[in-house]
Amino acid sequence: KTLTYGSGVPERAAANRLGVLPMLDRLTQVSDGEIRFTPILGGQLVSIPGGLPAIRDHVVDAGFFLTQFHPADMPAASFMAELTGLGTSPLATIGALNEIFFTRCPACMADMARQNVVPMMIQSATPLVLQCTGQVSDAPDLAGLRVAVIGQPEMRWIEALGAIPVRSSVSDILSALQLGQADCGLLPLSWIRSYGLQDTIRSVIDRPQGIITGAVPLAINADTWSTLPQTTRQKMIAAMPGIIHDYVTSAYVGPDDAVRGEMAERLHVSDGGPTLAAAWASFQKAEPTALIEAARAHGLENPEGFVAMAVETFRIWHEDLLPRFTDDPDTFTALLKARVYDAVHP
Amino acid sequence: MQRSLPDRACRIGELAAATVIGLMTLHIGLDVAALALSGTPLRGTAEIVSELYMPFVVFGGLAAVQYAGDEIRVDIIDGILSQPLRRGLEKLTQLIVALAAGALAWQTSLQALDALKQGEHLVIGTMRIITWPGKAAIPAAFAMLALASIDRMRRS
Amino acid sequence: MTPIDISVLVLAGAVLLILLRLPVAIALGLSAFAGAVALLPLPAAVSIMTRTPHEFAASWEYSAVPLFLAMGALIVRTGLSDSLFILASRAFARIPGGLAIATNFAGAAFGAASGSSLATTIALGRLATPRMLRAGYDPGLATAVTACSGTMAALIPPSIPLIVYGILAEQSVVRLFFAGILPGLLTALGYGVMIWIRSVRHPELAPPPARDTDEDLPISWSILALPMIAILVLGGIYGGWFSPGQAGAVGTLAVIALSALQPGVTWPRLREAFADTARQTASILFVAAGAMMLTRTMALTGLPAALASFVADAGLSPALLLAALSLLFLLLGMILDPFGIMMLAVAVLLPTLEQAGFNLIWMGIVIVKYIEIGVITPPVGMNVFAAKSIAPPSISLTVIFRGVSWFLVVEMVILVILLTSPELVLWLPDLMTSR
Ligand code: NA
Ligand code: NA
Repeated sequence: KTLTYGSGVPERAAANRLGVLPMLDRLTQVSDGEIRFTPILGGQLVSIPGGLPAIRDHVVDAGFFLTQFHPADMPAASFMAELTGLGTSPLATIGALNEIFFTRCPACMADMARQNVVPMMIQSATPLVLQCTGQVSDAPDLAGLRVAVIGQPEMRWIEALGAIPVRSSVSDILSALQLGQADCGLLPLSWIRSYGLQDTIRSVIDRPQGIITGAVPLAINADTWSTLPQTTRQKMIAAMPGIIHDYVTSAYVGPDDAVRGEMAERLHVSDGGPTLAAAWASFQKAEPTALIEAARAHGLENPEGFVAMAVETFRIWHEDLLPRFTDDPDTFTALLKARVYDAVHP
Repeated sequence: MQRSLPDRACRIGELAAATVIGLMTLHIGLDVAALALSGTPLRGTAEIVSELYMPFVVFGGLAAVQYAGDEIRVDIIDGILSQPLRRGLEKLTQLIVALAAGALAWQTSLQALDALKQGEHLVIGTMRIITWPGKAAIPAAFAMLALASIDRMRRS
Repeated sequence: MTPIDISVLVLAGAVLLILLRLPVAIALGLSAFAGAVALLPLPAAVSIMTRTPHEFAASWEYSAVPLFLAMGALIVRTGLSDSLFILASRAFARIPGGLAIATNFAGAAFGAASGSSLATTIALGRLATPRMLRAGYDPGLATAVTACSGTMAALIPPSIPLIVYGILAEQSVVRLFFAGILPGLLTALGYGVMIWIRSVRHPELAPPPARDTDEDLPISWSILALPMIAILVLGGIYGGWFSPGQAGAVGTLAVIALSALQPGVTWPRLREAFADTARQTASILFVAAGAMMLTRTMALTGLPAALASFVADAGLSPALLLAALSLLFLLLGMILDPFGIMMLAVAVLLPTLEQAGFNLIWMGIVIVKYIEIGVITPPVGMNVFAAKSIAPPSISLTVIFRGVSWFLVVEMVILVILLTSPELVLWLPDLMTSR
């Protein structure tokens, strides 16, 4: 059976080339050719805000959507996109996110069912780092600078630094940096190369400062899902933990490392020093309070309880589990299977 | 002089779009000024512009254009047709436009109604931006377009 | 019926409906819908097609279009540009075709402040077409020069299409901006020479000015208005005060402020300018929304992907690849919407181009050049439609398209130059960004 996969993410984005397309191939493989995908990428058929209705109304069999674009349709699931400030490790963050989404947030699953979609995973991207057009190496240098951010949750961190957050669309953020409208951007490191920012960026504070969350890179129309044989669905679910590991490493960690390797000689790179570390620590301490406010704005039931659960799940993945799976893909995969995907019923 | 109903509807749509364009200009201007002067841009400008203003801006003047006969069309076969044939074709064309616009208005009104029932919005920090009025602009514009084409059909 | 058959039928159907005088937007939308129904279950086809108008409109990127249109409408309604234009036409008065040549270079100058080819065409058309017609110019020339000169705004920075390309292709927008300057100026030069040659050989196209026209209007301070606005808009963009998208709003506010100094500018006149903007925005973007529906149906048919794999598998030499590409763009550009072509092109063709070793900044300029040619080719040419929507009703689209054909000849020459000498495109960006 051939399924169409629609996505508004630019065809050439690493997330597609190194993440989504290999994932679709792997699913074809594990289903022994039972299902194949025809990708229609780059907004040719579906835009990013149009992803959800297109999957729901069966314009495509499967596709990509952003939860934060639909707070009214999915109050709980869209709140997952506010958790940017909790994560620093890509693998720990995606583990925590999927554990919350699939096993600790029944409201999220109810949101998905109401929208007639079956999510295969929820994703987190790559750590955000500060990239500046001038010389910046620790927190005091940042006071008063304009920092372009893509998402709302990042603004709290920039304000905590005493800088001015400027919310930008992806289409504006690049020219904002290049034309001087912003002094810095809080962006994935690999964007330096993929958007040709090497002509513009002079210094980088290479310390993880949150990870953008909330996209569902593969959701399947519920009617399509129900027509797939039970065994195929089981095989797909069983393959997800391994797929997620490879997805994060090749689409996000890999491109970052490649840029990290080549930029050291061209750019001024620092970790922000103790001042930035202290600022980040106190920001993370204050973040739950801000998240409770946000959860209230999303209309979540029991905001305090939900945020406490989310913070604790992130803590478990970052503090208890991360030491066990650093440099050990199999342990990560086993943990994700045991803690999350064993509980997902195909 | 008494204006006809379609005429009045078209003018209301055009006025709405013109007003919102003015509002959008001011809003973006304020955003630029706020960042330049106080270092704090207005929150949610991009969302308000795209979700709330733009649907009115893009389609508000549609019926007025059709009513005035200024819609974009290609007139290559005009010279070939006889006068009665041309009138017949014109009536048929306006009927097709009215039917297409009416069908679009019907379908998009269902979507707008859904959005209204959901109280469709975006969340920016702790601020909610109501977005369903932008959805409602679409069926309104297409209903007015259907009305304008029916009037054109009658007049031709 | 294979999907490819459907795509051919859909395109043919669109052309037929357009020729039968159906409004272009409705013709594109109906044929797109028919194609979607053939390819998808009915509820899915209804969903994707009826959601397109809202999705299309609810866009931050497109907000630049009404803003730049408002700026143009205000400049025209308040008469702020009159004296500059009179000065320019005086300077060019002795040259055959002087008014049209002045309009052409005014297009290049306006393009340096505006990011939108459409907005520039409308501003020029409002300004220059009536004057040329009064001076006895050929209607085809008087309208075509505005439709075509508008396209320079997409090459000369700031440029909305170059920004969109930069994002889709992950290329530096600044390098693209610098790369667009020389091809934009080359276009202005090519158009100017063509108009001059034609006017020398056919003086009836552009009669020399009589002494008694509006040439004697007093020239006032307002001669500085347009340069001041251009400096504000460009200086603001390059000085980091606002984005190219926001520039339209700042420019509009600046025009309103300056027009307060202009005698005879009243509140009703400003209101009229905004009403003009509302109608122009609707009539133009409605067609673009219809073209977007058609683009989506094309993506569903798989035609672009099939073409791309055909091109990739054919193992063409770089020269043949460029030739095939040119043919494809010219054909698609006849009907599809410019941004739709860009998405299809980047999504399906860029990997092939990259593999062939083509520089993607150069390719960006070439692709934008092609989509700008698409906006002046029949049967769906957005700039021509825009020129028509502000010209006297007696001038038919056929007349304008016929006038455009001479500019297309120039475009072919320029394309050959761009395709054969990438170094011409890349020289400036390399110079400006090398450290
Ligand atoms: Na420009
Ligand atoms: Na065309």
